[in-house]
This record gives sequence, structure tokens and C-alpha cells, in this order.
Amino acid sequence: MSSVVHLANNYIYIASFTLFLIGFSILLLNSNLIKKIIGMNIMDTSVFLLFISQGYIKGRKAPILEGGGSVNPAEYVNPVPSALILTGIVVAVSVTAFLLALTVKLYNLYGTVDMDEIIEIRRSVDGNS
Amino acid sequence: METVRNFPVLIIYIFFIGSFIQPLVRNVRISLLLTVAISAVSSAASAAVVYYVRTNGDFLFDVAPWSAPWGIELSIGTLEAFVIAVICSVGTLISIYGIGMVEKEIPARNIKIYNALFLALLGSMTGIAATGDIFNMYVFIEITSITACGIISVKDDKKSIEATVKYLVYSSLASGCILLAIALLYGITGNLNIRYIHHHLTEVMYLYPRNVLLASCLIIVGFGLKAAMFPLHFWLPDAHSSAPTTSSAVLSALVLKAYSVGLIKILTGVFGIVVMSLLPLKTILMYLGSGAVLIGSLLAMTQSRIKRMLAYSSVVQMGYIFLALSLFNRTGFTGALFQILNHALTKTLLFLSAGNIKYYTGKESIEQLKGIGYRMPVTMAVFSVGALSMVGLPMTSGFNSKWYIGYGAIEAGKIGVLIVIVISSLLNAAYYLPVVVSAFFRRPSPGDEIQQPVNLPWFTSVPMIVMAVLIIVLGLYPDPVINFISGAAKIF
Amino acid sequence: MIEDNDIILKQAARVLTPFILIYGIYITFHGHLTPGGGFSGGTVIASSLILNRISSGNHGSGPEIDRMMGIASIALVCYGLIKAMGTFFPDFTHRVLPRGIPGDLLSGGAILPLNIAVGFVVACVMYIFFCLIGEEA
Repeated sequence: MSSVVHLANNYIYIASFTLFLIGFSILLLNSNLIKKIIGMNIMDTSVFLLFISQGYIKGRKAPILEGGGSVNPAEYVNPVPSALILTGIVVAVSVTAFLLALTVKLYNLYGTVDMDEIIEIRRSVDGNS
Repeated sequence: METVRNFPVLIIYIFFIGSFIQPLVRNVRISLLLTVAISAVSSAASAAVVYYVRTNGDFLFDVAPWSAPWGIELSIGTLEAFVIAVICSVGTLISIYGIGMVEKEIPARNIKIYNALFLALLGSMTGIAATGDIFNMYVFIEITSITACGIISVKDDKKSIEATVKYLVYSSLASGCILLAIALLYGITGNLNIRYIHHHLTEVMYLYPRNVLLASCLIIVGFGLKAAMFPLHFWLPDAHSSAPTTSSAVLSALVLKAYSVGLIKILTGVFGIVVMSLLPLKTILMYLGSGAVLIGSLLAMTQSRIKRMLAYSSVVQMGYIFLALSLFNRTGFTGALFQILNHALTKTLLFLSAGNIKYYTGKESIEQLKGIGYRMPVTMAVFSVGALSMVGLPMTSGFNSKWYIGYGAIEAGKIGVLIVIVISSLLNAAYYLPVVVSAFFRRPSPGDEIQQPVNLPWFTSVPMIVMAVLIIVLGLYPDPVINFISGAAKIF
Repeated sequence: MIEDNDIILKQAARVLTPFILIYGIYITFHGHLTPGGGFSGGTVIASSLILNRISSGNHGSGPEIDRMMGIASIALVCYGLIKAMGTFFPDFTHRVLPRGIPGDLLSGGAILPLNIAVGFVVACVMYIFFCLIGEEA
């Protein structure tokens, strides 16, 4: 019984690891390039979820400042993880953009976005790589 | 003397600002010369940092006006100063070679972008070595992988784009693993600075043992995939053999080293000797390193094209570094660092001469290289020096690195590692020496008679000759370097 | 790509563009007070530029892309110089860049200029990416 309570208390870890494993297996096992890119995004999003959720403190409000006056840090949630993940999201978007550009180039060269078919075409054209 | 403390940040800044200026430059010549100028200035600055660390010891430097747990700080010790010096100087030599040869392989509209990516790559590798904050290290790791994939794909032909896709997919897999490890470590300690995490981890380690175990496994797998540790090396032959020449040199010589230095920094700085002894790290690294060395050599012997053979040889040499790290004593660590310097110089030399051969004679496969020593004497002479250093002949720096690793193996009592090193030297000779022998001692095939020797322009031949001379000098007098880097292994 | 009788699309784009731009500039400038900052604000500004390009047909891409990349490079160089001055001359930057009261617009030191630079870079890069990839052939 206590293990179920233990699992229910750490629901964020469970959700994040499940999404990470789903994204990891899509990235590795699928042969379609577009699906690989989607898998990479799911994997990165799961890690962002885990990171941001570490900053939550129960009973405090969001760190948005209104005008004037002093700031009491004891009434806001930890803003550091959110700021870090902003950088992380930009990195994930850059890698996605690069992979999409390469996919468009491969499609123009070979006519397909499936990695297995591309390897087949290359092997039959080159003979010996 | 205190201004030298600013130099590491200055090196990173001028690499990146130089990279941002590149798209504004009009002329291709000016952009190549700008690359050489910025790399040369950074080499001088890194030499000053090495001298400072040798006389004054390690130092910390706050980048922004805020100090350690709120701001980012750089921690420069012996290991970091050494690696920054290697990166900047080898980068300068490669960019001098690139003045002549970049235009021959890369389409003219991509050369400015190639130089921007090259400078950003050097800057981010310096950042991985210099930083003291693990999220900052993750950002620099991402910049390194994107720019490293970028300099393969500027060549714009079928093979390089496929190789780039493969490399980028596996690289982003590894980055996801590293980011998950950082998230787990942040969750249990609440800090991102390496020293502070180490301090908190010694208290918190026994409350959350599974988090620490999972984080360390993810770090080893993530960095191992990026640094081509044995079973995770399969992306490397395609990526390094279908890239342009200077890109192959940078990738093999410097990028793999930067990732392994990042792995060393996180394992020794964040986890420390206590966690490293609790994990079965010695066994894992020893078996994977031996596998890399033996099986990589066997695979290299079956290759028919020279660039693919050199790429498999990179797997073997990285295996030496992991073997040396698995010994956990000072001599082994010194051997690993010396191997970093040795492989950077030698592999760059070999790739640059292979590029020369391919451009001036158009030959790519090893059997076509019969009698080519008379046509390209300088190139094949430096190739022979590099090949002998890879085999481990005395009087070259390769012998010294294998000597220190073997000596460390004897000190740690692992005679098996010594036997693996000896067998691998024989296997290395089996695939390097046929190239040298057939270049100088065989008659060329009846298609090409002996023509006039090729005259190389000075910016192509001078870097290669400088590197060959350095290999021999480091083979005869390694003591200044060894005395400097033996101070790096403080935790063993 | 757009025929001449799609006049509703063109007029609607002309009316909407200023509002989208103002929204993007608001997100960028209030990066130190509300969620957002340079990255998301730059994306919104880029979406207004892309709307303009779609609705009025492409006018060719060569010199336009070079000019946009030039603007992005200048913004990146400014970013690098502000960060470098913050490291090497901290007193100078403290006197020039406003510290102010937390909660005001002109506060937070170097965050405001850096957000503006990043907004420029992201907008230009997203627009270049659309020009290169989103068109046909």
C-alpha cells in the first residue's frame, strides 16, 4: 500500500520518464525522418517538464512583478528553472530546424523521407559504399 | 599578471564575436584570414593562461558581476588550461591549412558560413573545457553538436547530408540523456554550480541513491555516445569520412576530445571519488576501452578507402583514452591527457595529408597509392611520421602516451591492459604500414608514370611540417608537458 | 502564389500587421517583468513578417535574405559586446544601463537591451527560415 502512495506522490517523475521513454524509442526505432523529429521533441519536452516541476513550492504565486515597491522573495515560486528551460527550448527548436532543413534536402535528392529506403537506394547505386 | 585571469572568457568572447561578424564580410579571402587571425590571437592567450596556471595554480573567475551560486563562474585548472591550449593551437594550424584548401571542396557560397561555424565550434569547445556550471556546459555541448554537424553538411552532396542526419539524430539522443541527468541532479541538490553540487551531494547521496545512480549512468551513456566510446561509435565512420578535409580534422582531433574532457570534468568534479568508487566504473571503462582498441583495429584493417580507415583509427585512439581513465591512478591519467595532445596532432596531420592526396591526385583507395611518394614527397613524408606515431614507435609522441598508459597499468596491477596495448600496437602496424610501404617502395601502376613532384603552396605545407616536427620533439623531450599535466590528477 | 483577386486577404493582412507587431514588441520589451522575453517576442514579430510575405506574393529572395542575415549579425554582435562589457567593465555598465526599481519598465540592468537584440535575431532567423524552406522549390 505504501508503495502505491509513494508512486502517487511522485507522479511528475512517472509522467516525465514515461514520455522520455516514448520519445527515445520513437527517435531510435522509427525509420521515417519526420517521426524521428517528433520523437526528439517529445523526449526534450519530457525533460523540460521534469526540470520546471522542480521549481514549484506549494502555496506561493507566480513570479510576475507588478509596478513599484519592494520585492519579497518568500511569496514567489522559484523562477530559476523556468529561465533555464527557456534556453533549453530554444536549443531544441534550433536542432529541429536544422533536422527539418536536412530532411527537405534529402527529399529533394532522393524523393523519400524514409531512412531505410534511402539506404537501399544508396546501396543499389553505389554498389560498395 | 592579474589580467591573465580574464583571458579564458576573452577567448570565448572573441571566438563567438568573430563568428557573428563572418556573415557581414564581403570577400572569401578576408573571411578565411579573419578565421586565422582570431585563432592565432586565441592561441597566444591560451599560452599565457597555461603559464599563469603553472606558476599560480587553479583559479575561479566570475563571468557576470554576481558571484558563485547565482552567477556563472569558470574554473580553470591544469586540465582545463591544457585542453584550451590544445584546442586553440590545433585550430590555428587547421585554419592556416584551410586558406588554400577550403575553396577546393566547399561551394563558394557556403564558405562564409563554414568559417562562422568553425569559429563557433572552437569557441564552444573552449567553453565546455572552461566552465564551472553544468547547465552552461549543456548549452556549450549543444552549440558544439550543431556546429559540428554543420561543418559536415556545408559540402552539399548526398553522402555528407546523410552522414549529418545520422550524426545529428544520435547526438540529440545523447543530449536528451545529459539534460535528464542534469534535471535529476538539480532536483536533489538545488544548485547548478559544479563545486556546490559536489558539496551538497556528499550529504544527500544516501537519501536518494537511485537518483544519483541514474544520473551517473545517463551521463556516461550520453557523453560516451558523443565521444565515440566503443559500442556507441557506429555514427563515426560515415560522419568523419564524408566531410570536407578540414572538417574531418577538427571533428576527429578536437570535438571527440572536448566531449571526453566534459565527461572527466563532470565525473571528477560533480560526482567525486566516493561515487566513482561505488560505481563499477573501472570494469566498464576497461572492457569498453579494450573492445574499442581491439575490435576497432580489426575493422580498420578491412577498409579500402583511406579516410574511412583513419576514422576507425580514431575509435581506437579514443579507446586508449578510456582505457587510461579506467586505471584510476596518476600515471594513467597523465597518459590519457598526453594521448589527447598526441592524437590531436597526429590525426590532424593524417587527415590533412589524405586531403592533399585526394585533391592533387584524385586517389581515394589505398591500393591506388602505389609509388605516390615520388609524386608528393612532402605529404607522404609527414604521413609516414604520423603513421609511425600512431603505431607507437619510440622517438614519436605516440610511444610516450602508450608508455605512460602501460606504466599506469603496471602500477594498478592490471597486466591485461598492458597486453591489450601491445597487441593493439601490432594491429595498428598492420593497417598503417602498408600505406607507407606501398607509397615509397612500390612501382606505380602502368597508368600513371612518375611525373614531376607536386609543388605545395606554403600555407598547405607549413602546418603539416610544423605538426610533424612537434610530434618528433614531443617524442624526444616530453618532460615539460608531462611535468605540467601530472599536476592535473588531484583526486587520485 | 496569390492571384490578384485575393483582395480580402491582402487588406486583412494590412490591417492586422500593426497589431501583431505591437504585441510582439510588448512581449519583447517586458521580458524582465512578465513571461516572454526575446525569444517568444521575436517569434511573434516574425509571424507578422511571414503574414506579409504570404499575402503579397514573393518578390524574389536573394538580396532580401542577405539583408536580413546582415541585420541578425549586427544584432548578435551588439549582444556579444554588451555581455563582454558587462564582464570586463562592470562599473561602466552599471552607470549606463538603468538599474531602477523592480517592476518598472526601465529596470533590471542589461536584460532590456539583450532582450531587444535577441528579438531582432529571432525574428530575422525565423523569416529567413520561412523564405528558404516554406516556399515551393
